[in-house]
Amino acid sequence: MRVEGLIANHDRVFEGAIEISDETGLITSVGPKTGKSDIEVGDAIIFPGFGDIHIHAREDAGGSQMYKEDFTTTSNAALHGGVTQVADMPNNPVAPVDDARYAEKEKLTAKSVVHVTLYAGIGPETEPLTRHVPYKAFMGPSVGDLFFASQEQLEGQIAKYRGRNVSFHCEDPEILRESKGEPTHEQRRPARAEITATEFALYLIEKYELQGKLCHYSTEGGLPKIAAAKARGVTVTAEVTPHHLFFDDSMLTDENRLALQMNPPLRGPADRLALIEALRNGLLDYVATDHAPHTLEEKATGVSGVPLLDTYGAFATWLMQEHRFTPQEIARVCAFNPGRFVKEFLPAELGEGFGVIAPGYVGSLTILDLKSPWLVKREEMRTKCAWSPFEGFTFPGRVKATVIRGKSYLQSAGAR
Amino acid sequence: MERLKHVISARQFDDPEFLLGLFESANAMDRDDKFRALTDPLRGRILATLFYEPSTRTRFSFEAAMQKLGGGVLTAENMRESSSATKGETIADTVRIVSGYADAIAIRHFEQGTAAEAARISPVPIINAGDGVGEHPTQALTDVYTIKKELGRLSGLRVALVGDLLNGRTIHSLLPLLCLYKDVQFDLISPWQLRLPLKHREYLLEKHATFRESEKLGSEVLEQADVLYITRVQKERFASAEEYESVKDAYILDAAMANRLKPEAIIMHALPRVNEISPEVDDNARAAYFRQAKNGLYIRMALLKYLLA
Repeated sequence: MRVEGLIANHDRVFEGAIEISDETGLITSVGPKTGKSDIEVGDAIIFPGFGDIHIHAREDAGGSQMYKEDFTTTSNAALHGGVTQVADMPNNPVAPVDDARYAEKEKLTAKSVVHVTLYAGIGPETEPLTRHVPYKAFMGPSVGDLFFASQEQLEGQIAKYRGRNVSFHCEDPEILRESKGEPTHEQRRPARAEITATEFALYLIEKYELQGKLCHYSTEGGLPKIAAAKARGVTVTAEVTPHHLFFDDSMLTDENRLALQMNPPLRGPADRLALIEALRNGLLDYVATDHAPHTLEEKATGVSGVPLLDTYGAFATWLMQEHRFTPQEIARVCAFNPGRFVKEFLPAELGEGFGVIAPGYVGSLTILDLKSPWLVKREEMRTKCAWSPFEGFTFPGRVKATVIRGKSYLQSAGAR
Repeated sequence: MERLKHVISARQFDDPEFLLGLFESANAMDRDDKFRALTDPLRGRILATLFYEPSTRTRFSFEAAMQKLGGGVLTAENMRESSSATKGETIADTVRIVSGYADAIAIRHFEQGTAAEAARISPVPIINAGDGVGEHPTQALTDVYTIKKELGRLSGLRVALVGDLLNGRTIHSLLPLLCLYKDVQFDLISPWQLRLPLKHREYLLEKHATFRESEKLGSEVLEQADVLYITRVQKERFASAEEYESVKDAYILDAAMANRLKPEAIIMHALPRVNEISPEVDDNARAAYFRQAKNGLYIRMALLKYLLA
C-alpha cells in the first residue's frame, strides 16, 4: 500500500509518501510524493496509528460480560475511532493473573483487527508471570475483584513485582471509605483520595524500581507530585482520559449525572484546564480512554464508566481545534507515547512497533479530516453497549480512514 | 559478523543485527536486575581490570557487570604507578601473566594501540576500556544503546557533537557505529583547534554521512538536534588562557539553551562533567546522561556474557 499526504510524527510534520509491505504489514519506506496514493488523503493529516493503552474489552474465558462488549466489537469501535492498538485491563471475572489465564485470554484477542496488549492483574494473592507483561494494580474498590484493603497489603504484593511495568489506579481506599456518606458520586470519591494515592504509588514506583504508570489522572493537585517525581528520575508516566479533559463537574445536570459517572469522577473546571496544559507540556503522557462499556440500563442504576473508543480520533481533532494542540503534540500523546508503552510486549513480527511513521514500524495509520465536522449519533457507535457520552456533540473533525498493517478501513458517511 | 574474541574498536561492530541482539540482551539484564532475578551465567569466571589511567566509573561498571553475572574480579588501578610497569615490565608480559589467572581482561591505557597490542598475544578476550586518544568502544555501545532506548530509533537522526572532538575518544568510537544507520546527520561543534581529526572526517565522507562543522553552538543546531552530545573542553589543551576564555562559554549548556531543544531531544555526556552542563539542566526531562551511565552497566553485562558464556 502507498499513502501520500501531510504526515505528522511526534517530532516533525512533512509532505511525503508511505510505502507499506503487503507481506509484513510494516512500513518499508517514507519518501517524496509522486502523486500516487491508494487513499485519497486530500487535506487530511496522516498520523502514526493511534494507541489507546487503557480499555476494558470485557471478554474473558467465562464470557459473562460479553453482552456489553467483546474483542470483535472493541476492535470495530477502535477502527471507528482511528485506534490501531489497544491495551486491555485485567479486571475480568476470570482475571488474567497467572500464565495460564493470561495465555487463555490472549487467544481470545485473535479476533480483533487492532492489536491487543493484555495487562495482567495484581491482586492480594497473585505472583508475577514468567512472561514479560504489563501489570495493573487497583488500590480502591472499582469494577471487579482485584482490590487491596490497605496500603500495607498492597506494598507487600508490589514488593514481589520489583522492576515490573505496573499501572496504578490511584484512589485511596481509606478516604473512599470515610467519604461513603456524602451525597454525590463526585464527593464520595474526592480529589484528595487521588492525591494521597498518588503519593503512595510514587513511593512504590521509586522504592521497587517499577516502570510505573498512573491511570486516568484527574486532579490538578497531584500534578506537581508527578512533576517532582519525573524530575528526580522516577520512571513514571501518566494517562489522562478524554472525559476528564472535556467534561467537568460544572457541566453535570440531573439528566447527564448518571451517564457521566465514572471512577475517578469528574473534577472541577480548574482541574480540567490544568490537565489540558499538563498534556500539552508533556507532564501527562497519554490520551487513554478508560473505555468502559456498560449498557444504558446499567448506567441508569449507577454503574461507573463510559465508552470512548468510537470517538478517540474525533476527540483529537477537538484538542487541535479548541485547545490548539499541534499535529506533533497529537502524534506524541495519541501515537508515539502509547506506542512506546507497548513496544516491549509486542511480538517480533510487529518490527519496531507502533507510533512513528518510519521504515520498520507497523504500517498502521490514523488519517484525520480536520474540516468535516462530525455529529455524534448513538446509532453510529460500534461499541456493543451502543451509546456515547458525546451524543449530540459535534466534533470539529473526524477520522477519515484507519489503516491497519497496510489494509484500509475507510469510514463511511460524511468522509470527503 | 564473525564471532568476536576481543573488543578493541567500535569498527568491529559493523552489523546492525548483532547490535540489536546485544541491546536486547542488555534490556533483559536491566529487567532481570530490577526483578532481582539475575542468574549467574559467569559463575567461577574472572575478569581482570588493568587500568593505567585514572577511571572510577568505567572500572566500577565493568566490575559490577562481572559480579552481577556471578563472576569475580581482579582489579588494579593506578597500574602506571603501582605495578610492575614501574619496574619496566612490558604490557605484553603483564598480559601473558594476568591471562593465566583471568578469563578476560579489560584494559585502559594512556597510549593509543595498547589494547590491540595486548589482543595479539592474549589467549583470553581483551576489552579495550579506553586507549589514549584512540577508542572507547564499550562507551560507544553504551551511547548507541542509550539513543535507541531513549528515542526508539537509530536512523534519520540529527546528532550534534559538541566540545573537544580532537581528543574525545568516545566520539571517535561513536561515529562508526552511528554511520551504520540510515540518514544520520552530524553537527560537529568545536573550537577550531579541537576539530574532529582529518581521518575521522574522511571516514564520514567515505560513508557518505552528512555533516557540517561549526565553532558556534547556535540556535539552528539546538532546534534541529535529536541528540546533543556534550564533551568536556579541557582547558589544558589550549595554547593560551585567552583562547580558552573565548570559546568556553559558548559550550556551557544552561536551562534556557536546553529548553530550546525539541521536547523529545536528549542530552548526553559520557561524564564526568565539570561545568559544561549546568546542574540546573539535570531536572530537564531531556537530560539522559545519568541514565546513559546506568546503561553502561547493562551493555557491559551483555558484552561479557557474549564473550564468556
